[in-house]
Amino acid sequence: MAVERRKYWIRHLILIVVVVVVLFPMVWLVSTSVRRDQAAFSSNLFSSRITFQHYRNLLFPERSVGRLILDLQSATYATGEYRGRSQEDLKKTVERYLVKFEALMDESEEMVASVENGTSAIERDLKEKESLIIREMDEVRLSDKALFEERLREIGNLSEVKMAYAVGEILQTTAPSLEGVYPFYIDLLGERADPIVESLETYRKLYEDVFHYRDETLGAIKELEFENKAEVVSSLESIENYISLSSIDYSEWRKVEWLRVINRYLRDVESTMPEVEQEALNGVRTKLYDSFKAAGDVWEEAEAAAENVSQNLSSLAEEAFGPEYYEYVSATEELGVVLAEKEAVEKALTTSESALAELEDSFEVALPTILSEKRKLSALIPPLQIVISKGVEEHTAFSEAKLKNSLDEVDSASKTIALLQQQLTQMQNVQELSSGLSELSGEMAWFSDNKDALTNASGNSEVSKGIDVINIAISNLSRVLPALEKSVSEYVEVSENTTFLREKLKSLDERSEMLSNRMDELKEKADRAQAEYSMALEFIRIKSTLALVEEEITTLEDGRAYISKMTDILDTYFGIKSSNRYRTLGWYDDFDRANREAQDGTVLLNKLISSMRYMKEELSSKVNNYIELRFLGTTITLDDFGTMQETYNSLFQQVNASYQRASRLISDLIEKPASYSASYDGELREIDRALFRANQIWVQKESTYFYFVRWLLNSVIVALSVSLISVAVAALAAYPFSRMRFRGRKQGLLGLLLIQMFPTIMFMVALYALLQFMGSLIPFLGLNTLGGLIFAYSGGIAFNIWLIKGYYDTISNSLEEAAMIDGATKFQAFSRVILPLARPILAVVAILTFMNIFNEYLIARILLQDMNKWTYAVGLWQFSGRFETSWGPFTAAALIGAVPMVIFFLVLQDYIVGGLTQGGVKE
Amino acid sequence: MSGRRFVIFLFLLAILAIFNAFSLWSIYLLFADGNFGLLVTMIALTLLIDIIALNPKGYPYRYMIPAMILLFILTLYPMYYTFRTAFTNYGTGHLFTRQQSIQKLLSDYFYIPKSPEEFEFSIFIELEEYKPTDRFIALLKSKETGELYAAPRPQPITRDAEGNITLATAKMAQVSTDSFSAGGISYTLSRSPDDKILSIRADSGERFIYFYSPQDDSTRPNASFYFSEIRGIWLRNAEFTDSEGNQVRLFPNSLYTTFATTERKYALRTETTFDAGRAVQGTVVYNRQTDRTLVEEGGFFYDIDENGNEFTVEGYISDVGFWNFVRMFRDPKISGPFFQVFGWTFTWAGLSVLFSFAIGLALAITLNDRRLKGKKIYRTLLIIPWAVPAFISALVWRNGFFNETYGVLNRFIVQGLFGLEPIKWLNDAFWAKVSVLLVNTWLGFPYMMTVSLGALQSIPEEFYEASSIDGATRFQRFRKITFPLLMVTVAPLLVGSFAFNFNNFTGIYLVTQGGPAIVGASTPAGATDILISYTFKLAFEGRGQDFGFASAISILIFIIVAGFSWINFKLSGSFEEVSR
Repeated sequence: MAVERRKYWIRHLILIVVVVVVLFPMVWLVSTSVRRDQAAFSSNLFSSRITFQHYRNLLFPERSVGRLILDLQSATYATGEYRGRSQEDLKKTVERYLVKFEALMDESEEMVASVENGTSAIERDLKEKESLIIREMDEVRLSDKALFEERLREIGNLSEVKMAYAVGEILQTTAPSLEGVYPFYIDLLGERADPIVESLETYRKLYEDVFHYRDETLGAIKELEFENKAEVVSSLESIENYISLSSIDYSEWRKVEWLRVINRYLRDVESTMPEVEQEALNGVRTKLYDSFKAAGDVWEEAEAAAENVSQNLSSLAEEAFGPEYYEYVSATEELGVVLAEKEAVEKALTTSESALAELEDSFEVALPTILSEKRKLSALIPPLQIVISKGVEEHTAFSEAKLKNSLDEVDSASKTIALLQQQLTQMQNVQELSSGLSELSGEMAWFSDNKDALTNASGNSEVSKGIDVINIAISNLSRVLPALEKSVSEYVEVSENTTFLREKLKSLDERSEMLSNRMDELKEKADRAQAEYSMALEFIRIKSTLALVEEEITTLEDGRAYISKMTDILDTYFGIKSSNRYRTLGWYDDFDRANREAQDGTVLLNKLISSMRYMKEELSSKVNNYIELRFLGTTITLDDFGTMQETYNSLFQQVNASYQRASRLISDLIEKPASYSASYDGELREIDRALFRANQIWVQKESTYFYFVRWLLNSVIVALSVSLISVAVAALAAYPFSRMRFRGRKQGLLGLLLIQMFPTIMFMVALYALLQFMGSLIPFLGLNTLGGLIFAYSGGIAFNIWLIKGYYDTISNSLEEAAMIDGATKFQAFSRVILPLARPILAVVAILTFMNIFNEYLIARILLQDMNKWTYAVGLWQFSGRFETSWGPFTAAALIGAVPMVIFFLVLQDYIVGGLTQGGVKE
Repeated sequence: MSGRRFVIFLFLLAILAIFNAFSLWSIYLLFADGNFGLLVTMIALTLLIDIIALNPKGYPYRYMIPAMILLFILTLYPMYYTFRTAFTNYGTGHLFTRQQSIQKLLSDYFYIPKSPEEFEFSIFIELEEYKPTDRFIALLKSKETGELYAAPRPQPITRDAEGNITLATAKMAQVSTDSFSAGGISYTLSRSPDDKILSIRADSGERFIYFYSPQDDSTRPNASFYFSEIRGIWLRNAEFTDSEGNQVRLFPNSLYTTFATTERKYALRTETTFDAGRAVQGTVVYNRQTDRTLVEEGGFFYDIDENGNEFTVEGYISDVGFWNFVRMFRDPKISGPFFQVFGWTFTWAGLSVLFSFAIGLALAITLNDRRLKGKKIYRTLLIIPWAVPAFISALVWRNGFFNETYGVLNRFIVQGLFGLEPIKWLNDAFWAKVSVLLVNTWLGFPYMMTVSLGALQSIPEEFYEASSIDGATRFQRFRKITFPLLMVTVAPLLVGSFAFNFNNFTGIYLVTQGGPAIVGASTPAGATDILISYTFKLAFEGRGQDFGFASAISILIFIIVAGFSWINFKLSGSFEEVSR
């Protein structure tokens, strides 16, 4: 039995989890629809600030001030929806709007008063809570202290060296000082910090001297009367600005105070004094100067000492955390450098490689010329060879010169080519070009070698034709060679660079690999050392803060200073948000800020209300006349609307900004309470409500809100009509299918089944044209009418006929027979006997049809154009686009439609489930 | 026949007569309209009803008369229409019949001849309570001859979708001795002593006051009314016809400050064309300006410009045979996305059924225990997703949950709970599919749970008792008894559910609108589009509408769904019911 019970427990748990997951969207829907804030932008999934405003806006849309101004204008000018209204009607409408306007102004004032009452009540009361807050803050301080001490105990004792090293790190970023936490750090260092301590002690003496001599100087001039006395005195008194226990600015003091004021005026005074007094004053003021100067020097010394000490300390790393850690740190640093260098080299390498590819490309272009000229020359050689071998001697001076000229050019080209070829021999990627060049220069060499023989035969016609070939070849080559020369030299240079870079990259790779290997080896120890180091750091930080915790908090100011000192350490080492820990004071301050925002907003809102009131009075005194004037055909316009609009736009935005901020702060105040704040919750909620209402009164409202109820009504009208028509028609048509046998019965039933399988998407094209035609015959059945929509929907009766026929089949025949024996006609038997008995299925069919039609939006969307003719489904679809992030209105609108349907469904679930599963189709 | 029955009989007869009168009237109008599909439907319907009503053997059918009217007009006719359209190129560029296109060519296109006759004009307006109305007369004065013509407010002939007038016509009447007649009413001009025309008085008593003329600076104050109420609405597309049949329109070259004669661009003429070597006399459309015959090809009329290039002027609906079906497979730009959509439709329907059935069955098994407390409450709570109208749920999921930046899923679960990168729920093909399946499973499992629960409860307890005596394990009991018996009742419902999801437009369109779009598709196909949503987009969305192709896909869907239903009826034995 126990086992069984546990199983049920698990089963319940699973079911509850499933229910929660499944219903989460619904819960979200409900909660979002009553949220006061902008859910889409909020960081909370749910909110406790609830409003039914979205529902009110949809179901009972109210004209806000922003809307009223626009509507007043439209009504006065008879534009938009007021077009075509009669003059009397317009005047009445305007009158009504003006009354509403006045009412909104009154309500705004109420809201302002309500905000002010609330805030001032809390403010008054909070004054009395100050001592409590201070006490609570002090309690928190004590618990902070306990917390810190606890943590220090946990960390335990750390070796002196480790601590010293950690302090050294801290000292690097902390200026020397005789107050605050610095002396504490110095204390921790012990004798390591002696140089600093010495200089600082000297400094302290000098610091005291400075004040001592300052006072003496002041005393010395007390009795004297001279022109700039006041200036000198104030200068002397301002000495605190230049020297303190944690800083000193000697040069600035000398420049600004000493040279310009003290020295300058006192010297003049001294010159008029008797010698003894003169010396006394001079002496004391010199001492002041000297001691200040000395203090400055000593301060520099102290700074240098601190620097020195912290440097010495940083060399403790090895001693404190072991040589591995030390090596690890330096390897990390080097690795960074190496990697950066590697990246640079890689980048350079890519550049030069792409340059090489470019150049190789251009070689490809030159190659055909080289090869074809080479072939020309090599083809030329055999015939010339024959001529030479015959030992032909046939030459004139002219032919010799011509030949010589050509051969010289061949020589020079050959030299260039040989040079190029030589440069390219080592390059791997350009061997084709290189070998082409070498072959070419080989062929050319033949001409140089046989220069004499050719000269002798230069008059020969074959030779002279050969010369022409040579000339052509040379001229072709001369187009390519200069460019090739340039490219080759570049190529050589770039490829050398590339090789260099590759090697460098290789060595860098090796180095980085070595380093990271070494680091991997060291990592474990280094990590441990690192952890110890951060622990030491934590210890020191906490310990140094502990000193601050000792001081009692006696004022709110103390408390704020305390919080600012604690924030960082609590967050870093304890993961505590100071805003939560010190909520007691934070709440007080937040309320103050909210109050100030609300006050700012209120001042502006009052201004807005009074100017709106004034403008409204102006307007109402003349608006009727203007309506009349426009009806008389003038196109006269009223500037008042423009001014109203402008005033509204400029002021309301500011009001809204302040009120929104105030409202956010107040919601925080409610959601994150302090120990004493519970008693204010009621008032805060009241303030929040008033702020929200003020916003609602003024904000520019969507015009779609005003159609929403109309949409719902349209949907209900359409769905109700269709379900009635459909049930009546189907109930009638199903009867013979169930009770009579006639030709086409089977085909008819199958046909009905088939019909309802046809996708209706394309019906709409036909229905559109059909309704257009119907509209021309019977206007209320046309396009863009509810009648037309009802008509179009009424076609979907095939399935209903099946459902009802199925139910008729279950009713016994004998009842009808009995009725007919009693003299009823067949139709009477049907209407008096069968129909009443079939009431349950008729109800189900009616409900199903109602729900289907209520949900249908496609046909409606295409057939209905005017916004006020839309059904709820079409409207919501548009709504969801328009309010993509305004979840409040959207979810409220969705729920208004969904809730009745859900209730409907759940109450009638047994019938509906039966009806639906019977046909085997889910809709 | 008793007296009362006779009255009823007469009453029904009267209704029949009224119905017949109405349908004859509509048949006449449909004939005039050229809407032959609906015409035939109406004729068939009227004949059928008359026969049923008057033939004594038609008694059983009389019950069906209302249903017949609705089914014929609202279902059979659209079905016929879809079939018909599937074999045409009906769509953007081919929206009118050939006859309508030719009519458009003849009436809508005009050009301004080289030296048109220009008319200066002035507008005379009727006042009502001292306020100008849009009832007006335009007085046109020829620049050449100085003769006066009067034109009443034109009658609107065609309007566009927003109801703006796209063509309005009126006859111009020549004014002689300061009087003219239009529409059977005579009008007289009244002139001031300095011979300016001040007003026009109609016989019937109306007075039209001189209101505005572009040529008269003194009427400038009335310009804004003229532009917004007269020119913007009535004159912009007005066409006045003079006694010689010339069309006069506002003249663009004078910035619409004058009227000018225009010429029809296209006209009909008979021409001999050669068809398969034989000369055929035919009527063709030609361009009067260039005197070239329009080329007619593939449902388009092409004109030829001065460079000899053809350009489209009007397209019309023409039969294309099986082209729309062939296109599904042939044209890679269409067949690629089509097959993708086709495949996804099956995957979607299959996975939807699978997921919702698996979850529904699991829950049903969990709930199916008489000793479990609160069963009814759990069932009611779990059924809620089914109870909420699906389109509302779909919109809520899309807006509230799947939005990439603000959506609850990304902000609170993906990022908040798991700390992952936000998921592109609706803009990534894979995740969009996950989204629609998620929503549809959520919507669908309560139905599956309910039917499974019903089926489980109908399994007799004795089977289990017997099996436990035989020592069957829990799993064995499920596999050997529960599941097979369950499937007998549930299988037809699963097939039905598959067929439903196959056409579940709401589940796709309202969540993703079929998106994200398939790259490189020439039709508006998206990664989550199923056939039905694809059809809808083809027909009603995007740059161009393609009713022909959409209809072809509709028919394909019909065939597939009918196939499934056939299987279903085999499974559930519904056919026997029919033949009983």
